[in-house]
Amino acid sequence: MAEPADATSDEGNLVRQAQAGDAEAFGRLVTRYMRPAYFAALGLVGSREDALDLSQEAFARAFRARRTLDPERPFYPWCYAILRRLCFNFLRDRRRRARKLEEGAGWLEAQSAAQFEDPARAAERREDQRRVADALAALPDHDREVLVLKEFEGLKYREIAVLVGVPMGTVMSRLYAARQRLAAVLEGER
Amino acid sequence: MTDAAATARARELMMAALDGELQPGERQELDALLERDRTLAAEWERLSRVKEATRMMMFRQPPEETWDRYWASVYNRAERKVAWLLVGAGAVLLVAWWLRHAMPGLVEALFGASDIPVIVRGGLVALVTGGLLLVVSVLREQISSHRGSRYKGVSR
Repeated sequence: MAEPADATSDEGNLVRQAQAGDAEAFGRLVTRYMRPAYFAALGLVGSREDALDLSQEAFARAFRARRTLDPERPFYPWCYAILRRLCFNFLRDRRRRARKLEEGAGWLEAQSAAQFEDPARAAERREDQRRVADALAALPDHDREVLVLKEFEGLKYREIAVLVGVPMGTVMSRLYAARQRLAAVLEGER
Repeated sequence: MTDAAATARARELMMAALDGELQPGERQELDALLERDRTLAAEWERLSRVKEATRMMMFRQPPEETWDRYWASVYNRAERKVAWLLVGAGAVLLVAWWLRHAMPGLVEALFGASDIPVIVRGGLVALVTGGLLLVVSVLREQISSHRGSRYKGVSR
């Protein structure tokens, strides 16, 4: 997510163009950040359909509010603030309706599954996938958010701190708490 | 350093070590802290296993068409919101106008006497504009989805 200086100024230009009425300029910003936004939402809500809906809604809201954005400031953290608010509201409403994260861990998969994998190993891998997804689902939302940004989006602590709006020490303590809880859940299943 | 401070520092270093964010010299500091405290060493083993479990996982990728259509969906969504607002406002104004004529006493009682034609014009403009925007938006979406479709040349 760290952008070189020329990329940041290019982003500022795109924001200015969008503010002047060029929707396609905003489209280029969306195309640049649609994947991290979608996957951040997916990590939070655990459903592909809802993640797509929430990430698109966040960009649509950002588009309508584009005139309020300072072109000198980075675009994605501003958008991410809208996205995470939408996701947390969604989770609160869903909890009210007592629904769980997507069943069957369909939003996660094991890396580099070999094409001709041993069936026993494949079954083991699927089982690991289910356990990790279940353990992630059981985490408090704020801890899961930080863990997902670190583990699945590969962001640096500094970048996570900017997106989430907390000091780096808080990022590390949330990661610690999340991993401890994951360990407890994973060990509890053995 | 007190025990509590050493534990807090060790946990911070453990996170940084797992995530490849240790600064020069911190690895030795962590090793020294783990060597001194067996509980922390056990915790380190435990957290390393968790890291290994999550490292093996990744997000399932959506179909490529999701990305092809992404911005168009965002734009349609943003545009349609305005259209729906206008349609809604138009409908409300027209219903208010109709109510005033159908039940003059009720509307007069609610809003007081006023000249209606301005509302009618406003309502109609909003309704027609919103409706047109919706039609244009849906048409554009259909055209762009037809252009982007891999199967447009395939007949049933």
